[in-house]
Amino acid sequence: MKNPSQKKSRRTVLKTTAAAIAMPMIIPASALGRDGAVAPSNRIVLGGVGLGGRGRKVLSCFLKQPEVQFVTVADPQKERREIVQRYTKKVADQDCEPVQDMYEVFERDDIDAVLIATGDRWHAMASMIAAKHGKDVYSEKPCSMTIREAQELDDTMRLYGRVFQAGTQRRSVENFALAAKLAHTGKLGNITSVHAGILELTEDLPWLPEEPLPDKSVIDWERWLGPSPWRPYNSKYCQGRWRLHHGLATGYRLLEWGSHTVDLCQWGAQTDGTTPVEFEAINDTTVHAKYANGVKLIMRLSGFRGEGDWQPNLGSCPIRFEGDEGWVEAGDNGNMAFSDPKLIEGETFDEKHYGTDPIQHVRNFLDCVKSREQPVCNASVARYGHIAGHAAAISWKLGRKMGFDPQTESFVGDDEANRMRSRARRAPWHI
Amino acid sequence: MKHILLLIVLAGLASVTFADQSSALKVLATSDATIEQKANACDDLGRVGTADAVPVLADLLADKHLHDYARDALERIPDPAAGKALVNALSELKGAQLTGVIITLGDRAAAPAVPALSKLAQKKDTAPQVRAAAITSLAQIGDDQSMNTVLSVLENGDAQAKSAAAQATLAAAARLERAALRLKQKVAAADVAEHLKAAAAQ
Repeated sequence: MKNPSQKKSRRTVLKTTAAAIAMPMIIPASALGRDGAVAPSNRIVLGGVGLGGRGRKVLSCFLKQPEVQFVTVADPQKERREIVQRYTKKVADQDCEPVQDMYEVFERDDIDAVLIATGDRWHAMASMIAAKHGKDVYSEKPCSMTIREAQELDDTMRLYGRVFQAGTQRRSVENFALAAKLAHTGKLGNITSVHAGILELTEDLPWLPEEPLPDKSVIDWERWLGPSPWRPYNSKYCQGRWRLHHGLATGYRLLEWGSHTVDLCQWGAQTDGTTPVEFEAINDTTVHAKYANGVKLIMRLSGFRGEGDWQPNLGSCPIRFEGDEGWVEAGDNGNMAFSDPKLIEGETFDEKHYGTDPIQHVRNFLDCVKSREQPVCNASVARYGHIAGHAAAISWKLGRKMGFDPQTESFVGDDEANRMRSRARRAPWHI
Repeated sequence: MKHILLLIVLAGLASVTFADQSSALKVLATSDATIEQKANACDDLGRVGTADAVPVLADLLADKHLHDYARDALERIPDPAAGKALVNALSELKGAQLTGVIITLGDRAAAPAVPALSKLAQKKDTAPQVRAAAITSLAQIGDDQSMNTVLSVLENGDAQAKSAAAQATLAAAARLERAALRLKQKVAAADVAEHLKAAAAQ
């Protein structure tokens, strides 16, 4: 393992350079930030952790930003980190050092921010470790495995003064933003219900059969598992089949899309900073919730094949905001549907901007890294949206209606549900 | 007859979860049950277990594969017997298992653990990982005695311990700030004189 302290940091280099230019010399315009180049002092040096297919999609958006310099990626899987190294060279001609241990990324003092796109199990823990090392964080969703982790993540980001962006990028996509605007400006009347498209909830899968452990240099299984409880190795987990496995994924699939769509509903209902006060799972495809002001949050089936009772051709992750004077729906294919076309008179939105595209979300994050303001999906926003999602999943698992206190972030009079708000993390991982 | 009963118990294991404590305890007492079945039983006990489940779970804290599951269950069982079992385990475990139990004691805010955790936090030959966990947990417990130890480490510890103590102290301070804010919000929302509400708003 390289000792990160032996490396020259960006700032060390800058200091050295400043001392060196005491004598007259010719400085290229590009180094000063002219000719369209970004001056070193304005660069944002980025590291990555656990970048697979989705992670590389987000990374591609970072690499399109002129100020981003991507310098390293950590992954316990050799093949994956080397793919990212080649990808970075190919698309941005940048040299990215692949490392096995994420601490090698966090301990580099030349790195300003990190992109975390591991499996669910690592999102919160890696984000919090990064924050403790002074890094700003863009993390894929779901950003927490439990209600407690959603709290801890927010508290940690606040404590260390870090900029955090949850990878719930649809707040930065035009059709969803317009839908929220219609809800916020009273064009729909008083909001009565907000609807979040979700996948069908299902029980966790049994363990995959044990396979011989690969060499640690190829896949470090202990690091791959991280804070999740031990289970025997099977190569398929590392190829993406960790979903729906208890302790590796969360929320019985509700947070798969619900991280996005419940977040959008929180936005539409202007309930950022709180959660519903009641949850009731109707069946495997529908969970009802209600905010203190009476607005309903309806989580109901949608799917990749257009399942559920949604307007046609909206695509995945649909949402609906309904008021006493009108309604609007939006989905991933960039489209919208309305109760009345007059609702969007004078408004424009880019129908080609798909809900899965994080380019504007990444831009928002980078702007905030510079300004030190908080992004649209900051840790506080993620806290409440995720708590709502986790609480809904717990109500489904237990099959009963339950009250929820947004102040204490606990279920009212339901000991079993409250015990499901957290899980112990495997040692040595703790915050 | 014994085999028939066993088959009945194992037949019920197809489901991911168990309905109640007695079923889960039966699985843990069944030598033919798989590690996964026992792990699921531990998870169920974390949800519904009482003091009756504690001895069985405590015995699993030293188990190579089931430690994580047993500790998770003990972390979530509110009965003080669970905390006591975890404190007792401190002298019996080493390495990651010891670190795990220390973390859980912090998450439970287990005040009875303070003397033992203080020793681990201050002993020079404690492994760095164990010591860092002990410092963190002491700050999570956050009473006068535990914070005295953390602040002593912050002042006198080596660089690594100081760093852990600093992080733990910051987290404890943030918790106090949040608690103070909640109290002020209660006053602000109460039916009291305006000058008291104004004081709460400061």
